[in-house]
Amino acid sequence: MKLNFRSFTLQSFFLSLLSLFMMGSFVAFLINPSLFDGPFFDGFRATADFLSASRFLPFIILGMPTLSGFLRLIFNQSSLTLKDEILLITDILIIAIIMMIYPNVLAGPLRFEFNSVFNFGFSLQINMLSYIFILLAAILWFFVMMYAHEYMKKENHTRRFYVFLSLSYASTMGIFMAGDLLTLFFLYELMTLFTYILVLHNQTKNAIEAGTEYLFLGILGGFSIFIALTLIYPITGSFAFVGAHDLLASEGPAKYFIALLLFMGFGMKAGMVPLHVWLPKAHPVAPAPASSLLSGIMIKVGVFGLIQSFIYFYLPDPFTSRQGLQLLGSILIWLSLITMLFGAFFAFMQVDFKRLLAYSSISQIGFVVLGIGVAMVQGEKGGPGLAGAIMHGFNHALFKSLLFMVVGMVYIKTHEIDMRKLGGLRKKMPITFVVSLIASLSIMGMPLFNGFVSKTVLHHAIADAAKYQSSAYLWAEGLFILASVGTVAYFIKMNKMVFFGDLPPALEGITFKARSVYAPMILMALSLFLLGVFPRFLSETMIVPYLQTLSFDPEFTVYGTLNIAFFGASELWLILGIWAGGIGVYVLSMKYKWDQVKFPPWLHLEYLILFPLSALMHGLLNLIDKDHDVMDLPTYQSYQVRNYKRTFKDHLVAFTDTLNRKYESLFIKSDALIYAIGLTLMVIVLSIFAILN
Amino acid sequence: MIPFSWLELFPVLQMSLLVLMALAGPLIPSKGVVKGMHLVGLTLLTISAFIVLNYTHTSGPFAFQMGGYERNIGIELLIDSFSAFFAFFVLFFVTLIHLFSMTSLNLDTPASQHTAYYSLLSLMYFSMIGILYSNDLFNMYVFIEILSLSACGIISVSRKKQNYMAAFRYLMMNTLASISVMFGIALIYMLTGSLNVSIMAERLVELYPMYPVNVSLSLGFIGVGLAIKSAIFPFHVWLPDAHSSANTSASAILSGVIIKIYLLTLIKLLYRLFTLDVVIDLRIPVVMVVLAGVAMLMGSAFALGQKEIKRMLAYSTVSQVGYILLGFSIFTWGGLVAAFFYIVSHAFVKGLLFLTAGMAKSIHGIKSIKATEGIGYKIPLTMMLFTVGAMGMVGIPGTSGFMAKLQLSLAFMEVSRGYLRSFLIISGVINALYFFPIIMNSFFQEDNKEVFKLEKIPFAMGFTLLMFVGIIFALGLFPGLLLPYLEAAAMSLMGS
Amino acid sequence: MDNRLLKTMVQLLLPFIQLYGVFIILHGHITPGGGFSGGAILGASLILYGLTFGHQETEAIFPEKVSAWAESGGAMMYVLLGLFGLIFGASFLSNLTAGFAAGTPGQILSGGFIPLLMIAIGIKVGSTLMTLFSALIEGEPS
Repeated sequence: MKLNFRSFTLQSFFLSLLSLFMMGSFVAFLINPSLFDGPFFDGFRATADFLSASRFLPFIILGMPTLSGFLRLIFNQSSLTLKDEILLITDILIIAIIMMIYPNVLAGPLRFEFNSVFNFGFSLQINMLSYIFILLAAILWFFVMMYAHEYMKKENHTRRFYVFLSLSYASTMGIFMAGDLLTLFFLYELMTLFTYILVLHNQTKNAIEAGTEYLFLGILGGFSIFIALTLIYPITGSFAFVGAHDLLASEGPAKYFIALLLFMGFGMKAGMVPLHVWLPKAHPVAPAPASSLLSGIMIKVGVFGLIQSFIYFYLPDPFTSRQGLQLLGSILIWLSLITMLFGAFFAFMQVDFKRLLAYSSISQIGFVVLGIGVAMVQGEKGGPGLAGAIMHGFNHALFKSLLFMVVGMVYIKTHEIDMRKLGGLRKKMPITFVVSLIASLSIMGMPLFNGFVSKTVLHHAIADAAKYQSSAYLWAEGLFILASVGTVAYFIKMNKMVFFGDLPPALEGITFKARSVYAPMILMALSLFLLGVFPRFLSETMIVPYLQTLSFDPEFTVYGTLNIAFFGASELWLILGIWAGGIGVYVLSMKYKWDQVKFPPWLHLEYLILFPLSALMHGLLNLIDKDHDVMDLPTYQSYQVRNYKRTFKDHLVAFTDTLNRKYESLFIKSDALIYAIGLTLMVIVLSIFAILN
Repeated sequence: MIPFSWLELFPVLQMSLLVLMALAGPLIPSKGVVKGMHLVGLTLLTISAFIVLNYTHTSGPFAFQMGGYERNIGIELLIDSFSAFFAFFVLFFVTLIHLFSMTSLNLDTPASQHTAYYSLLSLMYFSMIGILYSNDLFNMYVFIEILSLSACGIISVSRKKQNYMAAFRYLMMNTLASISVMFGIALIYMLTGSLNVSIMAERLVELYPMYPVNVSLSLGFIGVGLAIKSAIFPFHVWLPDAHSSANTSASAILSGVIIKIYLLTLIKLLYRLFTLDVVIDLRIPVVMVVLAGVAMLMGSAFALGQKEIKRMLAYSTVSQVGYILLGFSIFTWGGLVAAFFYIVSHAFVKGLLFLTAGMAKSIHGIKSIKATEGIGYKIPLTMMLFTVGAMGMVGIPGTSGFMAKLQLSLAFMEVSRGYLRSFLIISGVINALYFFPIIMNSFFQEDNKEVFKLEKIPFAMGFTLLMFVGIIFALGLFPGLLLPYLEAAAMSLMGS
Repeated sequence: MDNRLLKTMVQLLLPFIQLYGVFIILHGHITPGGGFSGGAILGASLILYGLTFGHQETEAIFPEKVSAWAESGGAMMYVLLGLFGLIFGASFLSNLTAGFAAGTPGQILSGGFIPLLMIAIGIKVGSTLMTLFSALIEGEPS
C-alpha cells in the first residue's frame, strides 16, 4: 500500500499519535512525577521554568493562534493540507507548552501584569482553574481543527472561518487567563465579536438572524458586565480579582445589583435561562466545528466568569458572615434547576438533532451552575459543589463537542438535520455510531464513562447541601434526578432515530470516506472512557489542588470528591434507577406522543419581551403620525407564525422612518423659529433662576 | 525691549503663518506647490504647537498682549495647558486630514477650487486656534465669525446645488448664533466695562449679586448662540445638510474639530468668565444634563432612520455632542477630563468614518445605505476601516471610544450620578443599531459567496487612515499617553 | 453701453475720484476715514470704469493677476508689519515700541506704522470690491 505523505489524513493521523503520546506522558507525569526526574527531562523543566517566569508566556499562548490565523489569512494559495497543517502544528505546540507549565502552576498562580495599558492595568494570571480550562480549550481546539478539515471541504468562505476560529481561540484562552475584571471584559467583547462571525458563517437568513440575536445579547451581556465594573471600581478601588467580599458586604443592596449584573453578563454566555435564547438558534446554523467549540468551550467562558466573580467578590475568606451569600446561592440553585429541566424538556421535543444538542447543552450548563450554587450555599463545605461544577464542565466539553462532531458528520453525508428522515445509519457509519454511543452513554451517566463521575459528585454535593443546610434542597435533589432521567430519555431518542431503525431509501447511496475524522473522534471517545474508569484522576491532579487554594474546608472537599465510592452499590443502584426511569419515559412518550406537545405561541420568552416593545413602538408611532397606514398592532394570530421579531423590527424601522419623514424636514425648515423659541425659553429659565437667588 | 522666552512668540507666529499661507495660496500658479506648502506649513505648526504644549507644562501659562497694549483695552492671548493642548490637537488632526485631502480633493472637488479651498481651510485653522488662545471676548467673537464664514466657504466649494443650500442654511443659523453671542457680549460688557475675560471675571464676582438678571441674560444669549454653533439638539438643524453635502475632508474637519471648538469655548467661558459659583447658582448643570440627554437620544433616533450614510454620520455627531455635554455637565474635574478624552477620541473616530464613507461615495458612488450591499467584497479595505470606526463609536474595548465611555462612567459614579450611565448604555445600543446595517450589508449579505478583492488606496489616503486607526487603538489601549495632558488642561481650566 | 457722453465724463472724473481715495487713505491717521473707506472709494472708481466701459476693458487695465496680488499682498503686508514688532523685540502689531517713527502729530508721516497699514488695507479693499463686481458682471454683454 502506497503511503501518500502529503495527504492530510496521514499527517493528521501522525499528529494524533503524537498528541496521544503527549497526553499519555502527561498523565504519567501527573500520576507519578518522579518518573520524570532524570537529566533528560531537565531540559523540559528548565524551559517550563523559563517560560513561567517570563512576562511573555501568556502572549505566546495567545499569540500563536493569532499568528496562525494571520498566516492562514495570507497564505490562501497553498494547498488545503498545508494550510490546515499549520494550524494543527501550532495547536500541538500550544498543548505542549501548557502541559509543560503544570508544575509551575501547581506551585502557585502565575501573574503577568502590564500596568500602563487601559490606564487601569491589564493583567493575566494562570491559576489552577485557568489551567484546567486552557488545557481543555487547547485539546478541544486541536481535535476540532482536525475534524474541521473534512467538514469545511463543502463550505464557502473557509479562509474567513479559520481566521476567526483562530481569533476566537486566542480570545477564549485570554478570557481564561484574565487577571482582573477589566481584562476579562475586554477579551469577552472580542470573543463575542469573533464568535459572531462564526455563527454567521453560512449567511443564510436563519444564520443572519441567529447571529444578530447572539451579537445583540452578547453586547447586552457585555454592557451588564460594564455597569458592574463601574459599580465595583468605586467600592473596591480596583478591578482586580481579590477578595472583595468585606468591602462589598458593607454596601447593602448594591451588592445584589452587582451580582445580578454579573449573572446576566456571564449567564448569557453560559446559556442560563432566561438568557439562553440565542443558543438553540445559533447552534444549528453554525458549521459543526464551530458548534462543537461553541457548546464545548465557549459556553464554559460564562461558567468561568461566574466562578471567578462569585469566588472573588462574594466568597468570604474566612467564612464569617454568610447570609447574603446563602441567598445568592439558593437563587442560583433554583435558577439552575429551572435551566436543567427546561433544557431537558425542550431537548426532548426536538426533531432537529442540532437543536436537540443545543438544548441539551443548556440543560448540562444548568448542572454546572447547580454545582456553583451549592458551593455558595454550603459556605466552607462548598468544595465538592465547585469540584462537581468544574468537573462536569470539563466532561461536558468533551462529550458535547464529540456529539456535535458526530452530528456534523451525519449532516455532511446526508444533508438532513431532521431526525425523522434519518435512521439505520449504524450500518453505513459504524465508527461514527460507536463514538456516538460512547458520548451518549457518557452524558447519560453510565458508569465507566466520565459523565457518571461528575454527576455523582454533583449529586453528593447537593445531597450534602440538603443534609447540612435546609431540607428544601431535598426537592433540589429530586429535580436533579428528574433532569438526569430526562437526559437519558432524549439521548435514547436521538440515537434511536438516527442510528437505529430502517435506512430511508433516500439515503441508500451515501458512502463514508472521511478517514481523517476518525482519529480525533476516537481519541476523544477514548478520553471519555478513561476518565470514567479512573474517576479520581481529574479531581486529584487538578481540581482538588485548586480548591485547596481557596478557603473551603479541605477535609470536606476531599470527602466529597475523592472519597466517594464511585463503583459502590448505592451509586450503581441510583444509576440503574435513573436509567429505568429514562427508558420508561422514552417508551411512554413514544406511545402517547409526549414529544409533540404544542405550546401556545405566547409562551415564548422572546414574545414576552418583544411584544410590549412592539406595543410601545406602535404607541409612539401613533403619537407622531396619527394616520399612518404602515402597521397594525400585531395580533395574536400573527404571532403564531413566529414573526414577532420581524414585527418589532418593522415597527422600529417604521417609527424612525416616520419620525424622519415628518419631523426632520419640519425641523430643518423652522430653524429660525427653533432658535427664537429656544432662546426665549433659555432666557426665561435663567432669569427665573437668577431672580430666585 | 521686553524680555521673554522666544517660545512665547510661537502662538502669534503660528497664527501669522496660517494667514500668510492662506494669502500666498492664490498667488502661486502651481497647485502641487500650494498643496506642498500647506503640508509643510501645517507640519511645522503641529510641531510648534507641541513644543508650546510642553512649554506650558513646564513653565506654566503665559499671556501675550497684542500690540503691547495693557490688558484692559488690548487683545490678550492666554496660552495655558488647556488652550495649548487643544491647539495642538486641532493642528495635528488637520495636518493628517490635509495629507488625506491632497489626493482626495481630486475626486470630489472641481480643480479650479482647490487653491481657494486650502486658503479657506488655513483661515479656518487660524480662527480656531485664535478662539482657543484669545482671552478677550471681542477677539473671540471676531474669530468665531471668521470660522463661520470660512466654514461656509468650505461647504460650498463642491459647487453643487445641495452644497449651496446647505451652506446658506449654515450661514443663516450661524449668523443668528453670532448675533446672539454679540448680544450676550454686549450685555456683559455693559455690566463689567471691560472685554478681557480675566478682568471681567474679577469684576463679576462683586457685580453678580447686584445684577443677576443681567448676567443670566448674557449667559443665556451666549449659551444659546454657542449651542447653535455646536449643534446641540434642537439647534442642530443646520448640521445634517452641511456635513453630508460637504466633500470628504471637509466633513471630517467639520465634524471632528469645528463643533468641538465651540463646545470648548462654551466651557471655557462658563469656567473662566462666569465662574463656577455663578454657573451652579443659575442651575446650568441641570439645564446641561437635560439638553445632553435629549441630544443623545434624539440624535440617535433621527440617525436610525436615515437612508444616506453621511447624513447618518452627521446625526450621530449630534448625539455624540450630547455625550460630551454630559461629561461637562457634572462640573467636576473627572467629568472634564472624560469629556476632553471624548472630544479627542470622537474626532478621530468620526474622522475615520467620514473619510471612509467619503471614499466610498466619491470613488465608488455609494451614497445610500442600501447601496452598500455586498461592497465589502469589492472594497474590503475601506469597509474594514469603516468597521473599525464603527467599533470605536460603539465602544468596543480596545478602542478609544470605550476608554472615553469608561472614563465618563467613572466620572458619573464619583458624583453619585450613576443613573447617567443608563443614557450612555441606551444610546450606545442605538449607536450599534445604526452602524449595524451598513456592516451587515457590506460583508454578511444573504447568500453572498464572493471572494475578497483587495482594492488599491492611494498612499496619502491610506497613510492617514492607518494613522487614524493607530491612534484609535493607541488611545484605547494606552490612554496614559494622553491623560497627563488632559488632566493638566482640566486643572488649568478649573483652577483659574 | 456705448454712451459717448458717459464715457467722456468718466474718463475726466476718474483721476479725481482716485486722487480723493488716495487722500482718504493717506490721511487715515489724521482725519476720519482711513484704509477701508479710502479703499472703498478706489474700488468704486474701478467699478464706475467697469460699468461704463464693460468687462473686457476693465480686464485690460486691471487683470486678475494684478487683483490677486493686490488682495493677497495687501493682507500679507499687514501681517508682515505686525511681525515687524516681533522682530524688534516688542509684541505683535506693536507700533511705537517696535521702533516705527512717531513723528509729529498732524503730519502725514506720523503715527508709527498706521499709514502703512492704511495703504495695505486700502489696496486690498479696493481690489476686493473690484473682484466682486467682476464676478457679478462676468456674464453680461458689455
